[in-house]
Amino acid sequence: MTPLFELPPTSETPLIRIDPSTGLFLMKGICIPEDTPGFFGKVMTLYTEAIEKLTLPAVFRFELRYFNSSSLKGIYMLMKKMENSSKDGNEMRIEWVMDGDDDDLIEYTDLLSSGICLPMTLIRTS
Amino acid sequence: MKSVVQFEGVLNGELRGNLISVLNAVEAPEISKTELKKLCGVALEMLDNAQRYANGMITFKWDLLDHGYTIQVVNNASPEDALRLIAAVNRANALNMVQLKATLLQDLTNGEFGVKGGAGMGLMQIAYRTNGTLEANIEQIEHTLYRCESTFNLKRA
Repeated sequence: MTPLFELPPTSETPLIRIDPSTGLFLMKGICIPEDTPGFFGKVMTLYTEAIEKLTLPAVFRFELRYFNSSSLKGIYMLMKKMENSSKDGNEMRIEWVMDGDDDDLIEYTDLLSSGICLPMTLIRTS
Repeated sequence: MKSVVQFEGVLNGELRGNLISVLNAVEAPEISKTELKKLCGVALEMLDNAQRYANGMITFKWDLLDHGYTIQVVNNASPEDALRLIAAVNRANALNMVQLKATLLQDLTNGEFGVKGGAGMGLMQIAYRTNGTLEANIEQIEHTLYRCESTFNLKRA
């Protein structure tokens, strides 16, 4: 099995953790990269490589405190790429974790889910 | 009028990240948590634009007024980027909520980033998520340089 992979967080990019033992793809922290296409291109490569070797259903979890609009587009493109992989038979779903009182984020998930066919669950933290 | 945050200098990615963390940590009895999140989102997009298109230093300020909030970014930019700012503000202000959502969705799903790595959605997103007003003014200061002033005003809930 592929070992756990982590890309540490910075002041502008989130923690990326891919755990093949659970199928969890975690993106956590803040996401406002200076080079959005570059950052998401790298993440897309990591996710794609991990998905190819994954034997479990994949869970893409987003725990982002804040992110900019270009990152929203990066997330969309990443999820679209994963959605295409799911057509090859991989089981996948998205978990979007948000603060209990953060209704603003619902607007984003609403936009994302309009274009993505993967199942999406909203998880509110207290 | 009370100034919540003021910054003047050359913006880089790390500084922008730190500035946003400072904004998120603002504690003022006049600002609810929901409003703070919304305002931080606005500030983030405006700073994002400034970093992407500014030529040199920027001035950022967030003021608390009796009736609301003002966030303003001033930077110099190329004629092309200055005109792009005016066009983006005009476009966002001309659309109603239904049109804004449809345009945002279209921009989100077009599968491409702009020349400078942006999504082209920042100002539209501000208009969609808030009931505030966006204004932009540009002034030519050199042959190939414009002073750009972007202002966001929001009435307090």
